[in-house]
Amino acid sequence: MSEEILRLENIKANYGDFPAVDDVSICIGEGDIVSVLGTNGSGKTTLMNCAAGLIRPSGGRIFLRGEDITEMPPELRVNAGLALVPQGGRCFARMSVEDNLLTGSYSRRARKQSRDSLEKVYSLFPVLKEKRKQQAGTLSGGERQMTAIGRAMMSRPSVMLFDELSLGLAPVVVKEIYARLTELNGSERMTIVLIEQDTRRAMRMSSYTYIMLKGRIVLEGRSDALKDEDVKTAYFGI
Amino acid sequence: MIMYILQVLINGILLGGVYAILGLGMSLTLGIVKLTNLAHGEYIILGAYASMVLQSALGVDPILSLFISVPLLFAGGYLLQRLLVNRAMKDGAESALLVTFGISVILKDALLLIFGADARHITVSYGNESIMIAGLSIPLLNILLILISGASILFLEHFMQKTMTGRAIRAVSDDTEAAALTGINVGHMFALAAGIAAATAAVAGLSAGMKWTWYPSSGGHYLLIAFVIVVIGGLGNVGGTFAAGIVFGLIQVIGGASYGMLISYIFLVVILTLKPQSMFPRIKKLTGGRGNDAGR
Repeated sequence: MSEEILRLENIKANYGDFPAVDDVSICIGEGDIVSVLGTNGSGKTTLMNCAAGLIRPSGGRIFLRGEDITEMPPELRVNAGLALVPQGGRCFARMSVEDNLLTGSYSRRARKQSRDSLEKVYSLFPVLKEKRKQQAGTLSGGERQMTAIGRAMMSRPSVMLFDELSLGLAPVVVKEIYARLTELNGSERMTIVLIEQDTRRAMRMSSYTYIMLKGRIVLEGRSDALKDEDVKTAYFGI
Repeated sequence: MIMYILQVLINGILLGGVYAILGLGMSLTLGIVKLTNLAHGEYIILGAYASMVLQSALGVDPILSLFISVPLLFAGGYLLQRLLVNRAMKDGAESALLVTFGISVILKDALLLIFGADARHITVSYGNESIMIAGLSIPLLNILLILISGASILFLEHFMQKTMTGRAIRAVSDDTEAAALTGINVGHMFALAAGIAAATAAVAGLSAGMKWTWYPSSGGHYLLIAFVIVVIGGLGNVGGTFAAGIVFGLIQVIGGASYGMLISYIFLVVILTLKPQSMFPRIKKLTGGRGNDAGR
């Protein structure tokens, strides 16, 4: 594995009184693509919200490039190079595509490069350039997801976390978006973490896989070395 | 007769500028911070006293006092939100509402203590002058007031649409969590929005203070007017607020001193009963507007 960039160590987090994440550790190397898989309610989203700072974990530490960021508020984590594309994208529905993207470069470090970043996003997703004046709320699901990805790219991250990228999108759109992410990983050495229910596609794309069940990691290993039956057993807990 | 009606209509429209600026700050806080600021009326009265004091202390035209009163109220609104209300909002909307009620009571009593209970008015030499246009006599003051209000609203709209900070405020109003994920400090944006709302109250206080007399306790009256304007115009909707101000102004001149407010409140109830959709879809969009449901 390449040099470590993001590490979650013994993370515990509750969703109300319910322990959603229970003592989970994952480690992500720079330039890697890693997938974190699991069914609904396995704690993946809670784990990623801890990483991005939306939820304060009740136990454990989070390190970005060796620096402890456990207490850091979400907006400063963005400035430090960590970006989460939340479930469903959550574009700003009443703002134009371009305003959505420009908002992404709000953080101090990204602001100066905002024009340059915008060109990059437009060359990765040309459809966004065509629709840049359109309100994001009126876009198709796939275009909204692209806007959300573009918005996250605008903050010039070194690690991008994707929460259920493929959820509710047509397979052909998912394929297209995954191809763009592979491109991003290749050209910019972008570190990518995929949180998915779409096991097969995510494993094919990633080099390392974690499988979560009921808030714990039940299986992990190199994506090409994990056996199909083991994955199935771990995923469904049967 | 036609001339008279025309005269009344024009005055109503011109007065609408004052009403629009009265409602603007309320609309911003409700639309962006999702908070009913019960102290907004007191902010307006504070603005009126600020202009009054500055006029007599500096001996300048009260309109020039805005250069001091606007930054002062902006700073006050920002700090109160950042240090007090943001904290209370963590415990839910109710406790934040109570905090603004507390601020309102404290300000009202402080103003009473400092200025006494006398009726006040900002008087200017041109207060009673009118200009004749095509046989209609139009009060110079009303023209000035709508110009001030219009300029403030245009400036604000430009700021919200074209600047990085304006975009960030709109993003926070759309989805606070997603905004935090793009690197925006949500607490800072809430405070900026509250500061801008208080700054509009400085303009509103000057306008209302030149037009009508006020007391330290007049805040409640202006809060109600602001609330009606917000209901008619829609939340955080700058253009809608301006239109609502004009509707309200027309109702006031048509109803006159005796029936103006009564008709306004009947109008408010009618709007809330018959056309709540003109207001509520906007609220729904603002609070739950994640825009990720339709395309699934």
